[in-house]
Amino acid sequence: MADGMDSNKYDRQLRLWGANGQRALMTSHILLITAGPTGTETLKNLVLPGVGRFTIMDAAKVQERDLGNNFFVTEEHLGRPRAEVTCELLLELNPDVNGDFRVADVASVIEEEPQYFSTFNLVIATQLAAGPLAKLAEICWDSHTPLLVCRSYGLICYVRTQLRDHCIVESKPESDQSELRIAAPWPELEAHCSAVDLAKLDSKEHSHTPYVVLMFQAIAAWKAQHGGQLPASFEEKRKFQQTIKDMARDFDNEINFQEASEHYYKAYTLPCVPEEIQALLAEAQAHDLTPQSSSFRVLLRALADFVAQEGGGLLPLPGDIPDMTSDTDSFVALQALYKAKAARDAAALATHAARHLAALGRPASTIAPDDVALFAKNAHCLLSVTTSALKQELAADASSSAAEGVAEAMEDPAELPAQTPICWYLALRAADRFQAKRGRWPGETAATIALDNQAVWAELQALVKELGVGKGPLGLAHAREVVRAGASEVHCVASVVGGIASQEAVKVVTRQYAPLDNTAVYNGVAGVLGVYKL
Amino acid sequence: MDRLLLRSSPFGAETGALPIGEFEPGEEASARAWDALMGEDCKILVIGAGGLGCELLKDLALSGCRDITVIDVDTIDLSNLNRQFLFRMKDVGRPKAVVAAEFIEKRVPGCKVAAHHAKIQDFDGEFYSQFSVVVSGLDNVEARRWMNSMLCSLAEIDDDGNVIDPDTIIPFVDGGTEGFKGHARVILPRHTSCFECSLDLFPPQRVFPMCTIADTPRLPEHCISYAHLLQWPQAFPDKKLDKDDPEHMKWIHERAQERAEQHQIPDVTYMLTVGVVKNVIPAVASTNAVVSAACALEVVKLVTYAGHVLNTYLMYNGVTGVYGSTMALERRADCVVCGAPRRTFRVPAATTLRAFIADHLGGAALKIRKPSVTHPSRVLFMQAPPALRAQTEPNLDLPLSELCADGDELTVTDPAWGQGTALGAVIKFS
Repeated sequence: MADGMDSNKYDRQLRLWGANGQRALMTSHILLITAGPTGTETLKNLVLPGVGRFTIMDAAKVQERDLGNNFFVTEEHLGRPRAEVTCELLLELNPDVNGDFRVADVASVIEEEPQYFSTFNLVIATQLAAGPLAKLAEICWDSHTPLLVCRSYGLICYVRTQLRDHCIVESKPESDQSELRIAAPWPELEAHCSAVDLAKLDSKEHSHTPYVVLMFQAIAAWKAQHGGQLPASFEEKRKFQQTIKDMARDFDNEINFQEASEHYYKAYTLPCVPEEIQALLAEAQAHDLTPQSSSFRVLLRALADFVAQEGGGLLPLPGDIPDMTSDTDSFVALQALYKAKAARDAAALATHAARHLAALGRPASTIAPDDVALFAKNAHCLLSVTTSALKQELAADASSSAAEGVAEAMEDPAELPAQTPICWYLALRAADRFQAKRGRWPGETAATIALDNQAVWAELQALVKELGVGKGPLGLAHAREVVRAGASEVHCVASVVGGIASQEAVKVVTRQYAPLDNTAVYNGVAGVLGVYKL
Repeated sequence: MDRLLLRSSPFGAETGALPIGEFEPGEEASARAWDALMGEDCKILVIGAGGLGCELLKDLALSGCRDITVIDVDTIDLSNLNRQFLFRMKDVGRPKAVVAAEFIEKRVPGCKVAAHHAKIQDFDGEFYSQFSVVVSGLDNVEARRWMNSMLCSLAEIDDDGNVIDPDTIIPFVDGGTEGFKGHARVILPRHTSCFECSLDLFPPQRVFPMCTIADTPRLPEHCISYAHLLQWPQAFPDKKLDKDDPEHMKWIHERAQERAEQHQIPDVTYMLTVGVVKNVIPAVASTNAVVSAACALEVVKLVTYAGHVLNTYLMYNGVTGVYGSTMALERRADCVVCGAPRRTFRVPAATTLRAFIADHLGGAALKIRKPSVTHPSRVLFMQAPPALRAQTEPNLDLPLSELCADGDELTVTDPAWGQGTALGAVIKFS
């Protein structure tokens, strides 16, 4: 494969994110902060699929206790910089990857070189204390640098994404995305479907006419008998479905008619621009493009023009049709019709894009034809994701963006309410407050356990009061579990968070699939995962 | 781990939905919880040394397990290297179990890993009964069914199906992934839903109707299946297709392309050809990490009681955002493997044995493919050995009324369930 991509080694992942995604991954540069197990497990899952380059920032030296939970240090490395050692052992995993390290205290880099962080495609901050994390998050927010926050603590862990105007073309939703436009056909589709005379077909042809044609004719007949109206009421829709069945010569043996009857609603569903896309288009029209505008913004603007002009209120046709019972020639002809329309729409979009680029003094070749086609094909599922800023989440009053998410989650508890993951998110926030005040983690030494239990419980109660939410299932027991863990980093828990974080990292740098928005908490005490917008 | 095993917890296993034991931490390294994980008696079996297996071995070794056994029948392939991080380019072709065990022993001193380059079916109940917990990272349903059935058969029960000796219950932790999705689950044989109870969670593999492949191809997949299922056997009647041989796959790809061109069907690629013929399932490092670590953590809790045991199934989906859901799967009272394995079938007396097997045992009903059937007085149909099969085959076309009486109980066995499991089929003539 082109550009040194090893399609055999990467076969199993190329089937998910394709050559486009792999190319994006292989040209990404990721910063990992802190090389403990949470960090190295995250990075391992990015080195294996072939991330372009990584940098590890860590000031620590390898100690005895690292040997017990970190797979990327060994006894012979004791005393050496952890950043250097983990970099070396991680690079062993994949010769395609470049990696370097920086032995530095992240808190000082944040103070002294804030601009450093915006040189990366993604910053992954693991096990960072609340103080420096808040500052780092602000730097990343201001510079639009994607940030992943990873935390593991005893049996609890979470991943938090902070993204701003993060644009995704290939969001690859799981649901059926095909658009047939039977109820609003373009002239060529209309001509193709009306040309078929079902009555003249022999029985084999009749049972192999694609359901698009059947439904087109059924809905045309319905409109003719109902003053041009589509079926609207429940009863009319049922009746319409029956007319499809009645068109069959032998319904039980004509699978194409069975398929038409199963998908009957597609015959009268009018295509439209989804609300989320309308919002994106409105925003694109409200802001003038600048020479710095990304290809995504330029194409979005061009898309708004397309919808207003050639599209007649509709997005470009995606062009794929689902498989359906048919003889080969009928299916191929129908498929070609949809593909041709999709190509015409993409070409029109390209013309708009070229005009905007020209106005900005940029050549039309700035955006490759393949990229325009991809954008047109995915126009109905484009995403621009902006999570809340960490600063908003950590605000110490009811204005916190977390307040609503927490309240909602408390109202919908897990089977054992005390095990609802949101409880553990709050318990870790309480531990953070304890640490910020005392400069040490609760339960670090056995001697203070009883006192720390009470102190963390007090912090937990203060926190929910600030957020303006009730205590719900929270209790002293949550404080006790946090204290007993004593900020320990358990390998399995670190590996869960590393798995979730690396998956989100791949999604962010490849700009494919919808990313987490914005917090996933894994409760290892009971094996429950919760996802919250905080 | 020290803090979690030596300090008391408000959420020990005894407070969870599956209270399997009481968490007994202590200030000494002799505490029960500590000893249960790091002591001599803790023996963990890992099934599979692939994407999940590599992760499981690392997770368990770094959790403190000292005695691990791993079984895998496969050798290392180039396409494994994007996630199976215990293997390097130089290891391609070597047995996965052996290479994985060597790596873990070297990286985590003090951890013993015994490797078996073998099939799980090569070992018997005595072998499996030595383990504290069995954890699997497999890529197929059949091996999971067999393992599940073996572990369920090891739990000693009385006539009412109650477990006599709790020590004979070997917890079974199972992980699985497909692309960005995966699951981790805990099976306590004869206490919770077993693998067979919830077989429907696994959708059947997508297959294309033969008439579409032969007469009305529409998709590139149809052309590939045509080359694979019809053209290859015709061109090479005596040669079995080797899906790992690039020459063979190239032949299939070329034939599929010819057929696609003939019918103007776009997009037959080599990658798609391999995907269809080998039924390739996408796999990434990240999902394997999530699922394996969740499984390994359950193993740790199952032996130490240091937390609630997962009740019973955790699913993970990272396709759109992140989504997770934990649910308690229900036991089936009539489960062939872990329930009272007796079902009543009401069938016309004229039903042939062949029709009975096809309609009531095979296909979607029990999802078994090679059942053998015996009557208390004689064998009605046996799949193997060949001599017995030949002798009993004529029975297939006899009506049930000639083979048994109304109300008789027949015994059904199948390789999918392994040796210890059989279904009692009570025949009532309708």
